[in-house]
Amino acid sequence: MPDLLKPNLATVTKITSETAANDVKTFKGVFQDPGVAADFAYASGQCAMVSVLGVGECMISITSTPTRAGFLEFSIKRTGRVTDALHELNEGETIGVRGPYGNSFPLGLMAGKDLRFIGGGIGLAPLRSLINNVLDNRERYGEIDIIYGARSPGDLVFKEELFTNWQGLPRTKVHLTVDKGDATWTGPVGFVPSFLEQLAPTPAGAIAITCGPPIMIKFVLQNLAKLGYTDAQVVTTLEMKMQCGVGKCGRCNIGDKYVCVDGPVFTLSQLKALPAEF
Amino acid sequence: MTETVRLTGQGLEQLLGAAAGATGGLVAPVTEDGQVLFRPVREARRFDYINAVTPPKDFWFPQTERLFKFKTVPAVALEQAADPAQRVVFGVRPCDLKSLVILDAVMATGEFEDDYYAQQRSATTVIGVACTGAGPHCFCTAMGVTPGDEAGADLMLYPDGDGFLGRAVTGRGAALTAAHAGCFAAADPAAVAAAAAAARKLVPPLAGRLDVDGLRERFADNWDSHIWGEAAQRCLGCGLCTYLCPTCYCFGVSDEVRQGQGVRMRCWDSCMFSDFVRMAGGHNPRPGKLERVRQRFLHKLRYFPARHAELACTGCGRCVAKCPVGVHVPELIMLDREAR
Amino acid sequence: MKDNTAPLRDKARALLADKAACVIGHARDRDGLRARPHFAKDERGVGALILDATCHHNLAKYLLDYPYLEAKVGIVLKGCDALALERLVADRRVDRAKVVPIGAPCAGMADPVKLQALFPGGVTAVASGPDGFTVTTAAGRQPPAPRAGLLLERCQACHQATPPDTELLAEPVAAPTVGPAAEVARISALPPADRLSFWQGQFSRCIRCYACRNVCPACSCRECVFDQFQPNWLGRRTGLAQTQVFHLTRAFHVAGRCVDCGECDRVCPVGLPLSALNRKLLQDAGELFKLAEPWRPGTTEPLGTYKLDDPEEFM
Repeated sequence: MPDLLKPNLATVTKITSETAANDVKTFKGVFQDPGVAADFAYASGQCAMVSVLGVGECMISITSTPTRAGFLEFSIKRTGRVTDALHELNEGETIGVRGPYGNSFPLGLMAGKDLRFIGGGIGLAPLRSLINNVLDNRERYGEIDIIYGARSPGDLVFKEELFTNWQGLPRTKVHLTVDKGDATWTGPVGFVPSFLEQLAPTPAGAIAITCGPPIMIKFVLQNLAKLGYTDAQVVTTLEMKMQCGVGKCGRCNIGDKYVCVDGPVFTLSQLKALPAEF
Repeated sequence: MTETVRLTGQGLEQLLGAAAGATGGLVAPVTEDGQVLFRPVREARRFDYINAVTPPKDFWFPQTERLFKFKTVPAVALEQAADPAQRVVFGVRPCDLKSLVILDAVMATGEFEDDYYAQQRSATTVIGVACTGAGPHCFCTAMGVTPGDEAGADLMLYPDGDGFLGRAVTGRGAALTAAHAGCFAAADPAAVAAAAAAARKLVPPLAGRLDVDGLRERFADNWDSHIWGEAAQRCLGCGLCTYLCPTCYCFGVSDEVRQGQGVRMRCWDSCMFSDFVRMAGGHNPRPGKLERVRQRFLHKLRYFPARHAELACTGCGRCVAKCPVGVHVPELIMLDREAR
Repeated sequence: MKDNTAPLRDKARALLADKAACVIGHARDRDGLRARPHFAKDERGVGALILDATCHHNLAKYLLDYPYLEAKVGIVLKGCDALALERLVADRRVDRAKVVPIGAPCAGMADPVKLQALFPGGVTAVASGPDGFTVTTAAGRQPPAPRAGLLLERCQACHQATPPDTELLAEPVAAPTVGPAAEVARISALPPADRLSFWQGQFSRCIRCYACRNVCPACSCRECVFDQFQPNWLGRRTGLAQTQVFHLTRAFHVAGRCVDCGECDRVCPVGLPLSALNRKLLQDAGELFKLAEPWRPGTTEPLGTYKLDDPEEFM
């Protein structure tokens, strides 16, 4: 029986609203078949096709870390038909999940290096998997800077981690900014790329991993270059429309690559070899 | 049964009749309102066509294919779709046969095997028929295919007088000749080889007009060329070329549900449609006709060869014949040559 | 149509000298036979312009590709194409002030399929007149061909041979007497069950490429209902039911608005007689609402109009 595109059913065990506007929710899911759960081995950076049966499916990065087994988490912004339907779900309901798909963040390249995580908005979702992965193996990595911003304080996602869990860890700093502050906000105000430029984390022995809206990535990449980061030191993830996730449907084709199987993680050197159609 | 066979007109009739009577039936070219089309038929009657208007792709990679059924009430549950029945597709020309090699390269290789496609392929026995003439729009030889090529066929036939000489190319083909041994006579392998060689010598006139020297290198180096804008300004943005193309394989996945019963299916889609890569948030990486036209032709002539070592064009000429505004593979090859 | 190539090139040169962005016309295809749309922007582009009885493409819809230009756009319009421009102007999709129509009186177009059968080696020019076609090939002028042998089917029911209120490249031509739309009469006369099976047989060939919609001057919605993603009314699923929904929805959408240019028939790769469907609805709209066939500027559009005191039983 063909099952390449058949999802496995999972129960949504917990839904957490991440933002004040309630437009980002984190869904915790557990496969209904224990055999599937045991076989679902993934790495940080990989994605999965998440279905609401009857509405459709879409590619979502896995935001939980493989270092914490037993469940999957997806943080999803409400942007279209499928994500709208996901946001309508209640705890205890069933979704479909197939995967994991795509490549993953280059942990080998990152080992022993200082790490600069640079995220914007919902772009922190794939980075969160990697950050928690790295923190669970803290001894393997150097200094960690988590540089993150959102449009407003209410739009910052994973607040418990940003303000509690990731704070005060050894050799780990969290730097937060917002595009526009409010009465409660006492931290820095400004866009992520210029915030990065002010912080000016040194490129020596470092790897920068960035994810966020396309416009943010564009200027972050420029500013990293200004700070002296080489293309091989910069890692990012690409977002592209996807339908199959397995390198068949042609949707996420950029040049001779398919983002779903060759990506979503690319170094800047790899990215520069692709046509700029993303 | 030997690998090389002779088939009289009567033997063919008998063979196809038996195929038509089997569960999955027979697909063959028919003329419908003046259009030659591959259709499920009771008997095959047409042998004088250049090629069908639409490719036979639909029979191994259906335009709409059910992946599985599901229920959403009382609880979400999945059900398998039915297996396709064994069938015979008769009369496939070498260009369309080659498209099977190309589709196999995408679907049957890589980290994931497309088991839906594999199932359709193994349920389908393809009888190829070599060309005896070329249409004004054919250009297969420029794309490395000849009118006598057998790659992609299970059983390949070469017209010979009132009948055919043939060769079982695959195990499926051999199984067909074995199962219907009464329809075939043994043939001298040298005679079959000679018939194949003769068919391979046919050169479509349009192919002779195309300069394909260094084609892959040229198309690796023309991203910024004015030719894309030149072709794109005429483009209507419809999906005609992609749906008539035997090698285009892009698809989308969608659900339909009614009263708790649903089906998930995949349907052909087209990179020429403006919403093909438009994302849910509204961002469109290929927002204009220029980007979309460039994507289609570079995919055929540059990206696909880089990944699979084959051009994703077999020179069937359907885009040449049917594009209402003259945007097609030979046009782009000629525009590129003139731009240098 | 006479061979108007020379006067067209003169006119195009003058327009480009007068800072027009582009002149949309036709050029000879590489097959040496068919014409194809052509966008002249410089002297080289002007030199490729042709205008004869092979130039059957209705170019009006390309005006949608020039929405924000400061400069004007010249466009070749036959009588039928002029109605298409009016259609786009009436739908507020084209600003007439930006368009310089180049009028091409037309006594009928040659069918490219018939032309190919008669002149497989190609043509250099094809002129038509009330009596027939004069074809010039590389070998020189050929003996006159009778009108019936080459005429494009849709030109047998010509509504407007000469574009009105337009600077013309040649002397006006009178439209031939419009015969009854034979195909519509034939299909309408079928018993309902046969009519259904006729159309289902036709629709079963449809590959849903949307060429008919994309070429249609009456189909100019900014976002077509069939492309809408949310809600996803039809999607890409094929099947008789889906295909019927597409064609019948489109037919109703253009009912009373269709300019009967016949481009839907021309572009269809599988030969669906779509204009018969649209013409039938034009006839019905004409009879029910006493309207001209096809649509003319300023006339009521039965399905594009409402009144506050409309009865609302159907709602």
